[in-house]
Amino acid sequence: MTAGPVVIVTGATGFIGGFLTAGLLGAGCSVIALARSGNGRDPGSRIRNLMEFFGIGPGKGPEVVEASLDDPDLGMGRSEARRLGSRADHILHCAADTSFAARRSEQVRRTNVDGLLNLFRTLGGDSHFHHMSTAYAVGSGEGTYTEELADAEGFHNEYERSKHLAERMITGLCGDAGRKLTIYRPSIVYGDSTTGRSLRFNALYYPVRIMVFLRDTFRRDLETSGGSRARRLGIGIDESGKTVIPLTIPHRGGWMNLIPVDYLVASVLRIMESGETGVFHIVNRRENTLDELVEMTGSKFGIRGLRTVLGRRAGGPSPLEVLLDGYIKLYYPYMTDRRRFDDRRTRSVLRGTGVECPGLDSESFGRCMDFAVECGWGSGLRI
Amino acid sequence: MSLGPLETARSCRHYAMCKIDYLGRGLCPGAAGRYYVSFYPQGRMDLYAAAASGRLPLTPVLAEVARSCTLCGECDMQCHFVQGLRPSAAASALRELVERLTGTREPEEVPSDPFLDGLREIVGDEWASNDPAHLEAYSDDPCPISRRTVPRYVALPATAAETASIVRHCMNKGIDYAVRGNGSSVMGFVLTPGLVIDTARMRWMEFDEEDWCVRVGAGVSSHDLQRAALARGFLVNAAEPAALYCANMVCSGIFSLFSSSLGTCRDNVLDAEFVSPEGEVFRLCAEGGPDLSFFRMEERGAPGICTEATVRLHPLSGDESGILVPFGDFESALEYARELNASGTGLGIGMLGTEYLSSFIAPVAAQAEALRKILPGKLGIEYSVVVLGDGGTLESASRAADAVLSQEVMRCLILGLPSLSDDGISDILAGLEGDEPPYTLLARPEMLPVLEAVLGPSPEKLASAVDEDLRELYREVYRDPSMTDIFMMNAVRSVSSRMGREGHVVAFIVYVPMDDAEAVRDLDLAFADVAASAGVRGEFGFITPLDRGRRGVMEWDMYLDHTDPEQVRRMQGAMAEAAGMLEELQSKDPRFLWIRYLFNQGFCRKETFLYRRAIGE
Ligand SMILES: Cc1cc2nc3c(=O)[nH]c(=O)nc-3n(C[C@H](O)[C@H](O)[C@H](O)COP(=O)(O)OP(=O)(O)OC[C@H]3O[C@@H](n4cnc5c(N)ncnc54)[C@H](O)[C@@H]3O)c2cc1C
Ligand code: SF4
Repeated sequence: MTAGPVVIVTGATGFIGGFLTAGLLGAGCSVIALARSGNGRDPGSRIRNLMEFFGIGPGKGPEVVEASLDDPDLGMGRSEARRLGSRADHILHCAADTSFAARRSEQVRRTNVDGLLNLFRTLGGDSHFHHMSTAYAVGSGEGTYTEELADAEGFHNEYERSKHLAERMITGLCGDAGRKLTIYRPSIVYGDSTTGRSLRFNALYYPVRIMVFLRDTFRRDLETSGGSRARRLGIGIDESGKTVIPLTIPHRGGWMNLIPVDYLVASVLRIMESGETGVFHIVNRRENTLDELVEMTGSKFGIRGLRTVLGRRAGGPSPLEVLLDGYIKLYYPYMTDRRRFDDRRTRSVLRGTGVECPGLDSESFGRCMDFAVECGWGSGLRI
Repeated sequence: MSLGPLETARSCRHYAMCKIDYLGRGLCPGAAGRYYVSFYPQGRMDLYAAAASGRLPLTPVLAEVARSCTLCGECDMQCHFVQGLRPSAAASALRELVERLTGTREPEEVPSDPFLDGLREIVGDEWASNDPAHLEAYSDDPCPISRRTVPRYVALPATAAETASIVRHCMNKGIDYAVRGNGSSVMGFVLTPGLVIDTARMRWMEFDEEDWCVRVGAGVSSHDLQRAALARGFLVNAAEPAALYCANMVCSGIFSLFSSSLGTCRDNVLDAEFVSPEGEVFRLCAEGGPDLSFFRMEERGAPGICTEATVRLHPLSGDESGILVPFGDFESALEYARELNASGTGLGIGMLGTEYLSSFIAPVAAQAEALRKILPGKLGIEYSVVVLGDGGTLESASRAADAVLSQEVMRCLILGLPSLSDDGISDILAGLEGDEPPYTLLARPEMLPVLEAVLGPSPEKLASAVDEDLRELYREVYRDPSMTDIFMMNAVRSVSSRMGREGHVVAFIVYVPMDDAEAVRDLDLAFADVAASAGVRGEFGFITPLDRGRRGVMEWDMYLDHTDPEQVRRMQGAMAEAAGMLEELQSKDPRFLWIRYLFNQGFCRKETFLYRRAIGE
């Protein structure tokens, strides 16, 4: 990246936006972070804590501007927003609502579609627009998708649909305004493959967190309260000291496409630097199966009894399975995916840069989970 | 952190919970047989606050009150349970102070006067006084718009005849009087510069199980009446436990969760006896007596002093219990409550906001505070509807609901509350975001064993949330299953005054058209605006449907630290603003009625104010 371009980043207090902000600063960009209050903190302190998380010293972080995409004028007034927009060489839009729950559909659509429209119209300017989308904006089909706008037919949830609509909308808006547009479509993002660090602990992390929670709860019951509650659920401790938690996850085959956040950041920076426009898939060619993930979870946390079954469970769900089922239902399409994403355009930009997507193996999984446990699955982060 | 004696004393909310034995552990031994408020922990606190600031002379009554405290500490459990206060610190500080004072001088008797002599002739020497120590306990309440008013006398008649003589004595001598039950209306109603007539000694009940009714004297609390009725297999429509039943009837006609099926006002009273302002005794049902059944849209004085009432008993089937139905939004909860009532289901129904639910089930303020965030933020519970009834009723109510927190789940949550925030189960449930709100998981019957393992519910667990020296007492209290029984919690209302634990409550009570959810919600939002613009904390309290869901009674509360002048000032602004808003609303829309106009008309028929257009009001 050439020295000092000005990049406006939305969603800087989020997972992807946060890591990208740090990456852009590291690459010498001047970053203007649009952020809003959250978790009882104002935007300034959220970004300060974020910078501390990345070890970026005071004075070296981004300029912070309070903004809310829910407001048509971003809550800052049109002329102020225009002035801001005219300073930018790039706008990197990472803010999104990533909820898959149907009952949050309206909010998801408002943030991901209306919010994008508010941002684009209010900031104006002629900067290069970079839109963080998702591989799953292609819709709920099967087979291989190429790096272009897709004619999706169905969607698994409002998140996918809103991201699809947003891609179409921003393509039209940039086309009309004669502005450059790049769309990034990452698959499921987890922590840094080398350090294990992350800012969010959903998707890959959540089912693991539940298993750890159950393990700790029932071990306590077994070790200090007589264990009757644990035994009622078939939970025990085996001779090697492992916790036995009988829990079966039904599935339909397929795979999970996971990329570490360091790969995402490196790819986006390279693509931005290249000045290329169009759609880029940022995905892993080495997918993981549900079996592999279950196995990694069991051996990392000393849990036995977790298993997967192709098709249906015999009999109804056990209480523990009830706990997991609602959640898994939403992630099912991603845990047992049958979509493949052609990433030729991304690879061609990355060729010769040494940037490659590592697979998720038990070592990187272990690093990520160690970090998650260490920071209380995010409760220790103040962002 | 416990408060010092003076802060404790000043923080007393005057809800009179120390005057009823709601924990079944006995009352302040120093008050036994003495009736005057000054001998109860509430009075001791007031006396200490006054004496410590040099406002109270050393009199025989001050010395007697101070010395009657045995330092047993029982009031700490009683008051801590609902208000988080520990009165024994103030009672013991009062004792020390009085011992110090009596070391230097003798208590000085206040001379009698002809009016007091007359009172004493009527009630006996012991039961009328002008001693400043007694008077102090009747001089104030935490209402932000009332002023401290020290009465000249207090008298405690034992009968209607004595009461009538007192009223005539006042008439003859031109002395104003105020009647006082337990003073828990906390709106300044019971303050007077003249004579306070305390009805506490008229404490008697006569049950007539044959005819399903009970006669109660004016000194009987709702608590004592309800307990006695329950023990005989009946229920009465009672509300706040420390309120005296007759006082509550006169004051507001008594609305409770049970009003959804048992009604309110005249619905539950067969007859009553009064002493008129002229000092004549009359009965409601006697020929030639005044007809109190019609509501009039005007501020009225009481029809007289109610000295007894004959109250309806409602038989119970014995398997009454309760459920809690959680909701993510106002309208759905309201509609559920309305529909239940429209179909005649439910002995008691109440839609609660998170404020009440949190305060009621949390043993200490800090946990209520945490729960206020957890319920909506993590479990998706913004509102809930409590349904009370027998097994069949609850089955129908459950069928009509998407998710139900059963009695077992509620007991688990109450006794395991300290772990609900500590152990992260709420985080887990919040993150398990499915298409259904997280509370639906809590409601799945299969989840109960998981929940039990996670929360480890037990009296011990619950007690771990309170100060170490109170834990054994809490453990004992919560070993009684009725303390976590939703039906009993509502019938006896052992925890309802916890709503004032984090600040004195100024309650706005409005009769509303329950069948017009939009109008009700608008009123809720209008209250929220008033509170926000005045800078006071305010929350939706509850709504109970009335008359088959056509109407409802709604409570919206604002909170303040009544010892902080700035908060008092802001609350005065909020009250004026809310009053203006309510006056305008009810004048435009007769389906709404602010309870202010019902005061002193509690013996009217509810239809005459619920449908006031129909009677031309
Ligand atoms: C935490 C809390 C919750 C409450 N919840 C409810 C509720 O759900 N439902 C409800 O109906 N009320 C509720 N109240 C209000 C309260 O119960 C009533 O105001 C009740 O009247 C208070 O009873 P008391 O004995 O303390 O009366 P007081 O406060 O002593 O007197 C109330 C009024 O009645 C007059 N009065 C008292 N005794 C007599 C008598 N014998 N004859 C004529 N007039 C008399 C007094 O002069 C005064 O005007 C609540 C109050 C509190 C503090
Ligand atoms: S310690 Fe409390 S309950 Fe015991 S006598 Fe003193 S005031 Fe009454």
